[in-house]
Amino acid sequence: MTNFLQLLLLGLLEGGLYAMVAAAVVLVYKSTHVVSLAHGQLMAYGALAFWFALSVLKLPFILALVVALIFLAITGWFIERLAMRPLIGQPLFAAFLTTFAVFLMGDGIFQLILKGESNSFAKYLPGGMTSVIGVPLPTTQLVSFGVCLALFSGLAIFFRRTKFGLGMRATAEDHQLAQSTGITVRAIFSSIWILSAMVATIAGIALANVMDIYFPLPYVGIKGLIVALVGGLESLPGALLAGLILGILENISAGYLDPIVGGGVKEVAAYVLLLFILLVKPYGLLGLVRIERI
Amino acid sequence: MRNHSIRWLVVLALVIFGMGVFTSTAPAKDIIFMDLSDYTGPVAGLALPGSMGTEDYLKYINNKGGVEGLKIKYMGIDTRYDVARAISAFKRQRRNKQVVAVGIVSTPVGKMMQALTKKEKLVVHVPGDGEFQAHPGNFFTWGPVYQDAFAATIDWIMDDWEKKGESGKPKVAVLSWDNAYGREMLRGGKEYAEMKGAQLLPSELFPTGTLKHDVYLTRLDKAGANYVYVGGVDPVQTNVMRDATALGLTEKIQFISDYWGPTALGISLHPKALEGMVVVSFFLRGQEAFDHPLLKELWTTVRKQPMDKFNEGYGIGVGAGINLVGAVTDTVKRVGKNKVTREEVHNSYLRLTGLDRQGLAGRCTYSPTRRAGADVVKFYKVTGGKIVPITDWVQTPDAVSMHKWK
Repeated sequence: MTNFLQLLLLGLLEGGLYAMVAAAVVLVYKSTHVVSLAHGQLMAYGALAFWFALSVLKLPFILALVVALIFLAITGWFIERLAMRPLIGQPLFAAFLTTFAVFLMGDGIFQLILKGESNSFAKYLPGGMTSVIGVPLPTTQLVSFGVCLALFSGLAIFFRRTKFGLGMRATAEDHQLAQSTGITVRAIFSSIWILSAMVATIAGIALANVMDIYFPLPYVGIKGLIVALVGGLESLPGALLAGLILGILENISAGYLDPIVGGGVKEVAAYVLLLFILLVKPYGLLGLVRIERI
Repeated sequence: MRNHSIRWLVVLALVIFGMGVFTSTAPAKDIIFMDLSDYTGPVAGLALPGSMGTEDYLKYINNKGGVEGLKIKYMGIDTRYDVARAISAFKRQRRNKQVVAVGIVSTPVGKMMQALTKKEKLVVHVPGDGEFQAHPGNFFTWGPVYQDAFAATIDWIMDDWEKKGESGKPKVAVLSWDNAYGREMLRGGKEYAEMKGAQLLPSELFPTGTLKHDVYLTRLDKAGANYVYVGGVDPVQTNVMRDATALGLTEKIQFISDYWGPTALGISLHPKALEGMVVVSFFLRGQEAFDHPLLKELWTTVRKQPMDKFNEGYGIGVGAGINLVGAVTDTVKRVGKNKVTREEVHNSYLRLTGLDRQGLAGRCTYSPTRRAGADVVKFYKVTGGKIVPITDWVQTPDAVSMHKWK
């Protein structure tokens, strides 16, 4: 029972990390209908920028966080301005491929920066083990899960209570209608890339706090995309729910099925879940069902 | 007509004579060591410093005039632990006769290259795959093969178990990458462990890009593992220890790393987590490596880097460079510098038995029947944030011969 509980809780905490990565993908899709692969890299660069500010520039924690957020906000704006804006009005598939190109380019640079090594916040952030209902859990993951909950709460408030957030939601509904009400759609596009890059930064820092800055970090972004698809591409609560489900599913299935099938279950669990959800709920768990009137 | 023919014959004779003179006085062409390395990707933490070591040692020799004037050029190619990239790069240079030896870091690439080059006498350096010792051909491992190092670790475990006064069999598990490299140590290593009386638990194998190891670790804990032998290339071992510490397992289980981790870098990132980890190594680690005169000289004068950026993996590459230079020196002595071919270099590798690697590793053991680069390993332990030796060089058992090879 303890083993099951441990797998469940570890999965839940890991799921929170996936949910944060998915949040960045959902943000972009909500407003622009572009499915982004680039956010895996933004997440990794966010973590790298934070590490650089913290351990190389020796800035205090808050200042290092601000520096990382500003750096990634600029990067997000840059990507939108240079790579995405020229594609407005073009097929969405072209925009998707452009984000893939950004991912590949970013990956090459990321690997060159790391040179096979890894970086860690272990010296700077709390670590060790914390016992929760008798189950030992990594403190880093508990901290990261707390960040996840705070991030989703913040995004919920932003989209429901602020004028800018409401403007983003309006743009997501209909670009032309939003424009006719005085919302500058292009500015919203830029802002959403900036905001999503900042969310990716927070996700990246939370992830790297648990997993270090290591060469596969950007590829967690692919899992974020799966989570976003499972949750429903427009839905932030869907991303949270799907992330938690995926985390639990991965750990429980790997914990019990690996010895039977010889390993590797954790790696395929996400794709099995995605296939299943796409078959039974093609718009995702909490996605918007679009009805086309003929 | 006759005069015309004679004139042509004279011209032809002059050309032939000229060619003869030209060939006999032409300087020998440089030879090339092609390093199919992984500057990026999962094994870059090892491959990059290793490749730097070989490159710098060859530069060092070339700066001194080469081998009897013959320069050995270094050609490095980033293959990113990708078989297709590596094979494609090799094929582009396959017909280049200047390439007399190839270096490979990835075990899966090695397996493919074995099939490609089995009819050629082209020296290929590989990390430690026991298959190449089982079927001696043109592949030469850097040090003792993986299963022999694992067998030496089993000996260490049995001693440690006895010293601790424990009864029964120690439960030993392998936690490693789910690929050819990750399983290699058990081909012969498993038989050796069983023969010595250790209880081997089912292995936990995970993909190379795994970021968290909680599931595998909790399962090993549940199975009652006393010793876990961790494979992968650092920071894998460091990450495993980070996860194990967070789950409180390092107090119950003795973790032992195979050759490829942790380095000083990993220890600096997670000093508390790595405390107590034992490392089996065929090359110098920690302060022993930092203090080694040749490594120090190469790193600071050829690489021009400060010692605080030094990685112990550099010594592996320098050792491989010493082997290559030793073999080329032997070839030049035997056939002359104008006749240094792949085949002759290969023949020289078989004569390197006993070559001194200046203490970087044990003496070279290549011979007509042996492809493993050494037969000794050393055990280190992470203590007080440093990696310190806990044994002298110890002989590795022969586990390769215990496996039934196809």
